[in-house]
Amino acid sequence: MHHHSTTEIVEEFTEPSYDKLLDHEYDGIREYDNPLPGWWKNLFYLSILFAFGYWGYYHFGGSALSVQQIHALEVAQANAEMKQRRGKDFEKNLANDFQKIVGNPQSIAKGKEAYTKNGCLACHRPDGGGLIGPNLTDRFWIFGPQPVQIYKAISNGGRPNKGMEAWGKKIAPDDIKALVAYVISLRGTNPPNPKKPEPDETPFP
Amino acid sequence: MEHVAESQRLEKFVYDDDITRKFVFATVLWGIVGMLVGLIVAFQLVLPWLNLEIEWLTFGRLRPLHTNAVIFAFACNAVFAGMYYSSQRLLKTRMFSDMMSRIHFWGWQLIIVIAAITLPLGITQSKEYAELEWWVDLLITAVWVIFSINFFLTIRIRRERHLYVAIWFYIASLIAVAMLHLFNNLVIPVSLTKSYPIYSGVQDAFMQWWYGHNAVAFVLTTPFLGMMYYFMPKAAERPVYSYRLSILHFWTLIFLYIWAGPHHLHYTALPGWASTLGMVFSIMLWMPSWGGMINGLLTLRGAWHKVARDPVLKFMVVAITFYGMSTFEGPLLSIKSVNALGHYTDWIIGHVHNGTLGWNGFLAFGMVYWLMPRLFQNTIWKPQWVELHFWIGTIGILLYIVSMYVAGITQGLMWRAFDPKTGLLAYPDFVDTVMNIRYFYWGRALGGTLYLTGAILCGINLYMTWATRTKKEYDEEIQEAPALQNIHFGEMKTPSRLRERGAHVADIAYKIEALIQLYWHRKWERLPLTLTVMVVIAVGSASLFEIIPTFAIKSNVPKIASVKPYTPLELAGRDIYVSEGCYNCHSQMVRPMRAETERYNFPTVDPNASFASQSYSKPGEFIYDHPFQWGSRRIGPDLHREGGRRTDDWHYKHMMNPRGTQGEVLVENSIMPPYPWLAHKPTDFSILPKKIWAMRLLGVPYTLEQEKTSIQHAKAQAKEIADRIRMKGIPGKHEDKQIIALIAYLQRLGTDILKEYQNNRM
Repeated sequence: MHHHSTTEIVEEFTEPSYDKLLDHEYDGIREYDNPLPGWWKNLFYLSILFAFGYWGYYHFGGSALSVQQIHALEVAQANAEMKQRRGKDFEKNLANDFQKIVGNPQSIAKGKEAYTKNGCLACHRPDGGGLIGPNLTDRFWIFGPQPVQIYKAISNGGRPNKGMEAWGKKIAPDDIKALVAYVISLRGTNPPNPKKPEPDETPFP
Repeated sequence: MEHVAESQRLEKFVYDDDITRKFVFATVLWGIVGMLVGLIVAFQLVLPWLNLEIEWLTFGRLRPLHTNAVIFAFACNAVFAGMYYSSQRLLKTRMFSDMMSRIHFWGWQLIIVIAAITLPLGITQSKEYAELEWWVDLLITAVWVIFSINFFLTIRIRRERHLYVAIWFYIASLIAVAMLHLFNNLVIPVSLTKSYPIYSGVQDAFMQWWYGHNAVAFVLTTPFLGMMYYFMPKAAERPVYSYRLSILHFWTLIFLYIWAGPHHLHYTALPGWASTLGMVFSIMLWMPSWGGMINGLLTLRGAWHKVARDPVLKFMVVAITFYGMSTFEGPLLSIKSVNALGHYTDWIIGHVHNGTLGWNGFLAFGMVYWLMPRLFQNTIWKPQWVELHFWIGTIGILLYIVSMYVAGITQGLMWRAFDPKTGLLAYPDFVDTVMNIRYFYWGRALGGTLYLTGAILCGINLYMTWATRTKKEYDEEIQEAPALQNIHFGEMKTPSRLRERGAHVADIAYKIEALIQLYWHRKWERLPLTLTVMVVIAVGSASLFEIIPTFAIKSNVPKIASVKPYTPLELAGRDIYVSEGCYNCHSQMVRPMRAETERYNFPTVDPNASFASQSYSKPGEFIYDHPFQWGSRRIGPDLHREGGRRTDDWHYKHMMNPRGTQGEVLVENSIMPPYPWLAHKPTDFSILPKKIWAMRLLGVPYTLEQEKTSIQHAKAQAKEIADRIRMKGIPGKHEDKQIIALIAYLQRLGTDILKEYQNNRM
């Protein structure tokens, strides 16, 4: 017997001893006392460190923004970009824009395409005669017959529970303008079996 | 120790293999049934006419049947077969009570049959994998208790002092499943077919995914690891790679798993701290999961040549490989930014089937084939079919999961894509994103067909191996082992390398040595009660750490003044929504992401209003939702902001035929099934006072007056809606029909908060 130094004791435990069978046995199954794989141990420690690091960083540290706050920033940025994309006086210029668009055969053709593509016909019928949504060919209007008024009805949507959603979220402004041209082109076409005006529709001359 | 054993009289006993045979047959039979239902729902997504316009066969009702059948009928029966076979041998004793074993078997099969009847009938709690109604839950509890008593008493009468690692995993499974089942199924029954969970909204979602995630842990992971630890070294005839890895990965796995549930609810109305906990614990869970994979695969060192020859080992190796893949993918998907893309898409379906088809299915099949000759004392009827099953199964899994990964990631990217030119959603029409992935849905269905074919081959082989057995009575090998002796642990010689080497060190060194060598664990393995208590502490404490703050901290669910309870008719409609399983395809949770608040915007709100972009779901909007209906998959669009988006008559026509008619196209290419029965099945008005009573009991602020007048109130509201759709030209009297109640609910969805915003603006 001799005195063991600390280093020898440390070596005793760090020295890998592979494939040493343990003395127990269960229904013929034996077990090795192999050491834990180093990469396994290290990745485990790292994942624990990461957990604390992540928690600290996102809840107390540098980027303590909630997902809701991040969303608000994204929305603000997108709105700014949208404004830039459409130009400062987008709304003011609308009325002017329509002077060129309404009645223009190219715009009407483009609008007809958008009318089909975006499913307008599902509620207003392919010929505009009205189904779930009102008849677009008569002189009765809920939000008014002017191009800008129609533009806003499409872009901002109709009344709650009436099915007309704010299409401005889904259809680009140029396509909505073309839709307006197309809808106006349907006026007075007298399709068969048109839908009767609803009580809250106002007649315009 | 040996001389003590020698002096001991040997006891003779036989194992009960009949119970294993029963469970093996049930495993394969229900496996085929469950996978067949899965295949039907997979085909329904590409061929909507396969819903056949029959209420019992629609996707929303069959999908829960599929998940319940494969989890509780296929996987659980496999677990029971494996547990009964291995536990008796690892504990060197017959089961404590043959009678209890059989009550367990027949009771469990009865539950499965009840599930197969009630789920298609639309009797459901709507909590995923906990759909079965309250009285079936009670039956499950009773059978589970009998099973547990039998199991623990078998441990008590064991002839093997130490508990092998497989048994630790079985104990953890028994305890945790009991805990999960009890707490997630606390409900107030209203009738035999309806109950309301005691939790609502955020808390209900939290409890559900604490349950759902840990059902994956303690039904599909821990018992299967236990089976791996028995059948893998048996089949490979090799020692287990590392005992200390077993210990470490067992304890870290069961402790860490419990915390990870909230990763199913990232970006939802769940508080941020809970979401973060779910994520970081999932990441920490990666290595503990892989500990099992390493121990499984490295056990094969020196036996890989056997894998080439033996299809049983092939099944097991592939199973463990899929286990490794899905337990890497799990932590990956739990990372919030990855989850933002993957959640609600088919990526999750791919991930799940990676685990279930690969890990659970293949381990179960490997075990069944290993058991077959041993249980029936006959050679396998068609050994070459086993190899065939392996290959078509493997190809089936790959086809399935690759299809789902591509479909999921494609759809996730399409949902969030903005057109850089216009700044608007690139695919505003939800159905466009569905159309884009239909080829992958076909790929999935084909993969599923292959996998099911393999299972059928297994079924035929199993039946024929049994039918062609030569012995009428099975030989029962008589086992011999000495009875267990009460050797006090302290008397056992502690193996110490320090002592062997004759080291002169302080006493503390021996203690440290014992700690490092995990010798304390040897002690626990001798003491089942201690081990069980430790398991309870590990899974229980972790649960309490998350559950208590979720319920106790008021600020987790800030109230919104304008959010009011549903009207009686809307409540009836909501119960129809639950019963039809709408949540299987539609979420009710708009996440705070611009792609979502644009797509699921408030209908008809001036986009310039300051709150126009605030359409993401708030926790306070769900406080009266018993149960929550956030869903976990968007096969169709989110519905939380559906209220007020469309007209009542649109909904009516859409439910009758989502694609519309030739003259009136509604959602072209929609894959939603029609629900014609809603137009002629009556709404049960008479039960409304009882439902309101139950809601009041749960703290929903209805008055007694409202409870008493609920029937009149509901009928009045129903008449209004029915009149409205009649005015729109839909013939017939609908006021007492389910469709009206459902429309009332759909039109209410997510609208209350708008009043709050509008009031504040004014």
